[in-house]
Order: sequence, then structure tokens, then C-alpha cells
Amino acid sequence: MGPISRILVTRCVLDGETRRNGWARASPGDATMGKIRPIMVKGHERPLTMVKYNREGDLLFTCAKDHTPCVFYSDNGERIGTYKGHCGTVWCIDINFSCDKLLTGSADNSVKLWEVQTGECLHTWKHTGSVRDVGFAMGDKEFLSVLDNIMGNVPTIFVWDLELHNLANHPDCPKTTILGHKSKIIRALWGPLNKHIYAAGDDAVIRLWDPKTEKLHLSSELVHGKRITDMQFSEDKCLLVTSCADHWVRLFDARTLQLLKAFNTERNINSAAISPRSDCPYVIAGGGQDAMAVTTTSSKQGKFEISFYDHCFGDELGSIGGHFGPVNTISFSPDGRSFASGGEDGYVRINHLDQAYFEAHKLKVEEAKA
Amino acid sequence: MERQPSAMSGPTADEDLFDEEEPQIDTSFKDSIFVDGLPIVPTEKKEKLVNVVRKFFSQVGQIRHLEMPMDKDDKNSLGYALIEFQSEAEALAATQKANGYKLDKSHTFIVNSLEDYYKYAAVPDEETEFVPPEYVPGENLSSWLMDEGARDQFVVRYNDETEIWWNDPAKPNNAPCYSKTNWSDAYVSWSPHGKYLATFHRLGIVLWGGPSWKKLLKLNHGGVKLIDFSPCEKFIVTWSPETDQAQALIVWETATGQKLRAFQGAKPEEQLEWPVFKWSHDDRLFARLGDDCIYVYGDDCKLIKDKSDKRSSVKVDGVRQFVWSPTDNVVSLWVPEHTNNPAKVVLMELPSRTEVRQKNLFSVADLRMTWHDQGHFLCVKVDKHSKSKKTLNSVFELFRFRDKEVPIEVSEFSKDSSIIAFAWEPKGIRFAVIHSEAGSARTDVSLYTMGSKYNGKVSLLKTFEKKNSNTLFWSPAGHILLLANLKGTAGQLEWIDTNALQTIGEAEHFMCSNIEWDPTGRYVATWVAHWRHQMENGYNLWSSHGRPLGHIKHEKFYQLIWRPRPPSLLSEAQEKEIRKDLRSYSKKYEEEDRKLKLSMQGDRLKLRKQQHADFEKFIQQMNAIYNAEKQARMELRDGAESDNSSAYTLVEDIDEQELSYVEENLGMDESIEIGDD
Repeated sequence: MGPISRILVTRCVLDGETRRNGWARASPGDATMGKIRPIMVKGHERPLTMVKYNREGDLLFTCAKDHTPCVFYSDNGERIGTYKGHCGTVWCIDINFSCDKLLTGSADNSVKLWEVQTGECLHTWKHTGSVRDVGFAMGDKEFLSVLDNIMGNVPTIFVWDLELHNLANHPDCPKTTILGHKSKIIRALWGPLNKHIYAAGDDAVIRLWDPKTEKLHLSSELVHGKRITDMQFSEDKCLLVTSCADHWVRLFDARTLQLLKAFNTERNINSAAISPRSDCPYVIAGGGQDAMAVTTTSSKQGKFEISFYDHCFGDELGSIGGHFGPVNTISFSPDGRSFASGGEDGYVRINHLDQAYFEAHKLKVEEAKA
Repeated sequence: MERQPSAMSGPTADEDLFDEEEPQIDTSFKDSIFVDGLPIVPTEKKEKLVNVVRKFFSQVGQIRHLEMPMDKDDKNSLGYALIEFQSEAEALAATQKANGYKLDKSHTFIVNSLEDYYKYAAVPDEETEFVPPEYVPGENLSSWLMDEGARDQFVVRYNDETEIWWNDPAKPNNAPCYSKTNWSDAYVSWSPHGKYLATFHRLGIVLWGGPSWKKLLKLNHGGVKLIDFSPCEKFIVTWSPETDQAQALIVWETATGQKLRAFQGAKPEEQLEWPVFKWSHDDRLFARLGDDCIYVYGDDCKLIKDKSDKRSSVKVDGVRQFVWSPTDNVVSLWVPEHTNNPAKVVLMELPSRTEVRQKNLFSVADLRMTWHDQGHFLCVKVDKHSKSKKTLNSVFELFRFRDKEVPIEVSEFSKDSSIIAFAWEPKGIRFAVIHSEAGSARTDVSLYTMGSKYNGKVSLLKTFEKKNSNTLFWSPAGHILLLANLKGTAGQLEWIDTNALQTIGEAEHFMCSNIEWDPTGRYVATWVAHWRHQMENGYNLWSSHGRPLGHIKHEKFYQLIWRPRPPSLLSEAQEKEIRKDLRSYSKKYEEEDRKLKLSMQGDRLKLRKQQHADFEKFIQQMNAIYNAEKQARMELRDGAESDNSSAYTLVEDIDEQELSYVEENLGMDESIEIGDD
């Protein structure tokens, strides 16, 4: 257990609901059978929008279309606390390096900074519209926020200074304003060493912006067929994965945006993530039939499984089902031993991976070398 | 046709229609004539002669200009004149009427169109020998049959794409053998022997074939919607709903592309039943159902002659339906009950019109005739209603066509059972029936044998109970029967070995809408067509025993059709001989398969090795860059060492607390007995 969570264990006040909503192991017997042991976490009443681990991987932060982000123990899915204060869908969440501050962006036109341990809202940055993404820069001295293009707004990426010791009289205007997107930005990420901001969205292009000059550095035209639904870095920010509405998951060299691998998932995908373990070079992707069309067809054709792809060899390894609605968001734990997924069904599923998973790639390598 | 859309493809043809033509000067002499045979007159008399000629030709039409040339010295006329009329029609009338007219005893008009004059003047005086263009042999249209691996082809259509693939499960290929975008406006169709692929266009049908998929034939038939080939591909029948229905059904000759005859298409307010014409197995005769008669035509597209050598239709009062035997020029037809006559089934030989066999039937509600593929048997399924006309009962009347006098066996099912499907085993003597008890959803499949080709006896082989299927698909080679449920979306498939009478394979193809065996019976394709479902479109390939071989998905997938093969050239006896000696033949192929498998494995391993090496290299590069940036990262984080995950350690705490511990004697020692269970 990481140092922060140790403190949390001793200090955190469990809110009253935890026992009632609680958590449940789907099938405890599976753990001994060597199968993947999923933990179903019901902490939200509405579809999940984002799940994210802290750096140590012991805590899992989730946000959903209800207004209250939550924090769970990633090990067993027990809820530790909630962050009350937003009054709209919370689209995004980010945790700082030392895991004591939390940023959330919401459809109530605000970004909020929270004290992780107490759940206290430290500061609110007002926006003119819904906030689609937030992210701490490396070093936690800046953060970015993404303004949605609704209510007459132009899709914009803002960079703000963050002076944690000076929150009381914090300057409330963005340091940098990146315009230039014409359609919705779904994801904006700080690149390696904060040199660039990676942005992707409905226009199916990844753009690299220089936050100092506010100019476009690089873009990936004609790679994606339809809108990009999610984009994530690998742990070392060397690889970039995108999930796209054209059913393909694409893996890029993060620095050059050179396409390395692409996988056809044969269905809508909403999120994709890269395994942080070097002995498991996998990409996972989840999604499924559009939430609007789900009720019109049988659950079988929904394809709500999460699929695993080996990006060294380009094979599909397998898939894990469980959600009974489309998967909206996926995140790997930093140690690569488990991953969390959040679905339209309002559940977060924490999957601890089994031995066969860790050995699959090794076996393939041995076979190739034989 | 390949790149530049000609008049056959829609949009450009329309554009052509609307293109305004540039005005052009008419330089032809169509309205002028040349009159020869006039008397030669001196200058003084010229005027008089001109007047005579003018007067004469004015009767035919209005003369615009008349010229009578004189010789060099301007002394005498040259004996001819040139006349220009107001119109081409007048000039034409003048040549027809005045040519050969006798002006007087010694002078006769020779009138020709001036245009003709130039035309014939251009003909060289000396005869040149005609050199026929060099003979260029056409492509071998059966080349696909010579494939070394004896593979089969199939065509698939999805979106705007049409692709032709080799089916090669041993070596999955990822490129089609031939493909083209927007090849056909509607569906595509193979000819029965597989030589031609027919594509539909707004203005007609095009046939393609040969190794290069060249355009072989164009049939101009505007708005064509349906096509039917004769069994030996000698003739093609097309129908268009857009043109005048009196001429809407056309019979073409495949070899020349010639239109042989146009027939009445759909009658007003009547649905066209396709195919309209049913062909005899040898393409010699084709027939169409009429009112109280069958129109039978010979291959010259004329009605066949009767005994009195008169061309007439084959009269059968009240005939409802007829079916050709697949191997003989015999039709089976049936007539429902009318006035005081019972219903009857008749086997009639054509063109002789002799009745081979007739059977009277009573209380017939409906009747269906199915010939055995080799023409040995005919099954007539009769739905009989009870006397109260409330319930139906199905009876099979089985005709043994190869036996003398064509004996008939009757096979009756228990009352209240309804027949869902019936199918003969190709190249065999068995048949399968799907039946269910009335009022129950459960369906059973029964397998019967005809005993033997001659003098056999029908007997039940086995009933497979509770099979949730509604369609039967026999392998074209016989022996294996595929049961499928195509009505729901579950798409259950079950393969049955009819020799061993047991299930050999079970599978599921979700939402499966169509099934087709390949022509050799080695593989089966199942697919979900866009016409039926919007989702899951694509096709699966299976071995004859139900082993999955491939799964391809395409959005808007429409159809998959195996390329048919012409009938085998081997006789039944030769085939039997090969079957007997199968071991020695298969040895060779098994060896080939093994080698191929090994080499493919080698290739795959090589590829994977390469992939792994590339991957390792890439990861090393990335790690090098990452490590080089370590200092920069630490600076950004005010010196915090972030890369090293060992900067923090995982500690597992186990808290154990003993709450309470009580030991109690329940006092039940005597009642516990051990050992019995």
C-alpha cells in the first residue's frame, strides 16, 4: 500500500452510503480457479465518464454523469469517499503526482480542485461552457482544461497556472488559450515533458499544440476514419493509443505520431488503454453498440466485452465480458496487474488479471524464437 | 466498360442525352439526283430540253435547281442533268419513279441519287482480295476448373464492391482473385455451369468470364430486373418491368447474343412467377404454364408440333403446375379437382405428348412435386383435407420413375402432423423430412430411404427428435445433411452424417440468413445478408463436417454465390472406381497439404520472429529516449524521483482480531452415526 493511502486508511471518514452500495465480488470461486476475478463496484447512479488510478495504483478515482466523483480502493473496490460540490455531469478527472489534489471538470461550467483526503473543494475555475477534459502538467505547476463547443463556445484548450500555496488569491485567467479546433475536442493530454498538448476529437485528427507559442506543431491527417472517442498515453508517454468510431484501435509513436499498429475491433469502441508492463505489450479496448440503440436488440449483439490485443504480434488475445451496457472508459493500473472499466450501466468493474494473462506474451515470444 | 463508363452505365448515358449538339453544315447530296440517258442536244435546243425535264420532274416534287452541263466548246449537251429537290424524300421518289422512264424510242432515263453516284464512283475498279482478320482465340472460359488445387470460386457483394475469391482454407489469402467497384447495379448471377457472371445495368445485362474477366456479351434490355439461364447455358431469358409487357420477356442465344424472340411478360394486375419458362434438362424444350394448357416451345422458339403436324400448345384442362424431370424430357403436372373429375398427377413425355403415368387423387387441398436430382424418383406431397375440411393431413406419393410402369408408393404421416421441409439426397436414394405435430413447437427430422433405384421399398431410417430447425441443406455430394434454423436469429446449424445416422457437427451463426454448399460438397458458406438484417453482416465458411474455417465481416453484405461447376465428365461407373481407390489418391493430396502446412508454419514463425525483433528494437529506442529525459523530468518535478517505482514499497497489513471464543457441548453425541452415507 502506498504512503498516501496509508494515511487515508487511518484518517478517511467513511460516508454512510458505503455499506449500502458497497461492493461485491462477482464470483469469489473464480479466484482460486485461476480465472480473472472481477469486482463490481456500484458507486454511481448514472453512466460512468472516466476512471483513473493514482500513480501508486492503490486508489481508483471515478466520475460519472451523476454529480459526485468517487474514490475507491483499487484492491477490493471499497469506497473511501466522494467529492460533493458539482451540479452537473462530471466529464473528467485527474490526480496529481503526490496524490493529494484532484481536478475535476464538469458540465456545470467549472473545474474544481479538491483535497483528496478530506474531500474539500479548494478552488473553482469558472468556464463559459461544459468542461470536457482536465489534466495536471508534469510537475503539477500548470493544468489544462478543455472547453466544449456547446452554448456558442469555440472548442478551446486553456492552460492555467496552479499555485497550490496561493489558492486564496489565485489568478483566475488562463495563461494560454489554444484555439484552432473547429469541432469537439474529446481528449487533451500533456505530452512528454509538457512540451506539447495532444488533442483529439470529432474531426478525427490528433493535433500537437505548443503551449508556449499556442501554435500547431504536428497533426495526424487521414489516419482516422471517423471521430476519435478516446486517447491515452502509455505509462512512459512513448506510445499513444486512440479509439475511433470507425471501429479501429490505433497505436502511435507518441513523438512522431507515426502509426505503429492498428486493430479492427469490429464494433464501436469508446475507450482504449495501453498496458504499462513491458512483459505484457497489450492494448485493451472497450465499447459496444451505441447506448441509444442498445435496447432495440438482444444483449448478445451489443458486444460489451473488453478485448485484448498484443501489439507486438498484432493478435487478439481474448476478451472479458461483464458490462451489460457499452463500456465508456478504461484505465490500467500503473503496475499493469489490473484494470478498471466504467460502463453506461453505471458499474465500475475492477479486473485483477491472472497468471495466464501475464504469460501469454512470453509463450508467444518463446514460440517465435523456437 | 472497365474505366470509362459507356452508354451502358446510368449517369453518363443521361448526360449524353442532354448534351446539345453543335449545328453542322450538311454537305451531303441526299436531295439531289443525277439523270442520265438524256438526248444530246445543241445549245439552241438546250432550253427546250431543260423545260421538258423540268416539267417531268416537277410532277414528283419541287425542283430547287436544275443543271444541264454542256461540253467544253459549249456546243452540245453531255446527255445528263443534275436536279436538286426541296427534300430528300422527293429525291428518293424521283429515283424510284423516273428511273427507266422512256422519254422516246431511243432515250431512257437512268435516275440515281447523287449520293449513290459518289458512293459507287469511289469503289475501286480493280477487285482486291478479301483478307479475313487474323483469328484470335478467345479466352478459355472454363479455366477456373483447371486450378491445381481444385479450389472453388465464389462471388461476394457488399457495399458497392463485387469480389471474386478463391476458397482456400489451407492457405487463407487476403486478396480477392478479382474485384471491381460498382460492377453491377443490382445483384449478380452465375450461369448454371459457371462460365459466365451476369451483371445488371440500367440498359441491360452484361456477361463476364474467362481468366481476365473480360466483357463477353452485352444484352440490351432496358430496365431488366430478372435473368434466367437455361440448364446448359445455351439460352438466357430476361424480363424487364419497365418496357411494354407484350414484348417484355426476351429469349437470347448465349453464343451470339442474338435476341431470339420476345414474349408476353407479366399480364396486367398479375404477379410474374419467375422463372416464367421452365427448361428441359438438355435445353431442347422450354415451357410456360397457360390457361388450361402448357405452351411448349422448341429451341427454335416455336411451339412444338402435334400429331397432325400443327403447331399448338399442350392442352390439359385445369392444369395448375408442372415440373420438368432434371434428366429426362418428361414433365410432371397436376390438375386440381374440378366438376366431377378427381385431382390427378400426370407424367407426360414431350414433345411426343404421351402420358407415361397418371394417378387420381381425392380431397386434395394442395400438392407439391419434387423430382430427385438424378430423376430416379418423384415425390408428390399431397395435403389432404379431412371430410369436414377442418384438418389437413400430408401424404407422400413416391413415383419410381426408373421402374417399368412407374410404380407408386404411398407414405402417410400420422394425422395432424405438418410437413415443414422435404429434400432428396443428391446422388443418393434417401430423403429427409422436417415435420412437427400440430400445435407443438417441437420439430423432428426423419430420414427415409427408397431402398434401391429399382424395385425398392421405402423405409424409415431414423427420426432425430427435437431438432430446432426449419430448413434442410443436403451436401451436393450427398451423405451429409445440414439442418438449419433460418427463421429466428439464433442461427443453429447441425451437420448429420446420414450413413452413420449421427450428428457430426454443431455450430451457431448468429442471425444467419442464407446457407449455400459449395458445388463439390466440401465446404459450406453461411451468411447474414443486409437484405434480412442490418447488423452482423458478413459470411462464415465451414468444412463439410461443421468445422469453422473463416469469418469475414462486411458492412452492407448482400450475397455470396459459389461458382457452379459443369456436370462431371466421368460416368457413374468411373466415379465408383475412383471412390474405391480413394486411399491411393488421397495419399498424394495429404502429402501436399502437409508440406503446405509446414511451410506456412515456417513462414508464420519467421514473421513473428521478425515482429518480435522489430518490437524489441522499438522499445529499446523508446527507453533510450525516456531515460535521456530523466533529468528534465526530475527538474519539472522539483527533484522528485518519479521513474523508480521502488521509491515506494508495497506493504501488506493484516489485522487479526479475536472477537470472542466459546466452546459448548451440544449434547448430541449419541444421535450422530457415521458410515452409512
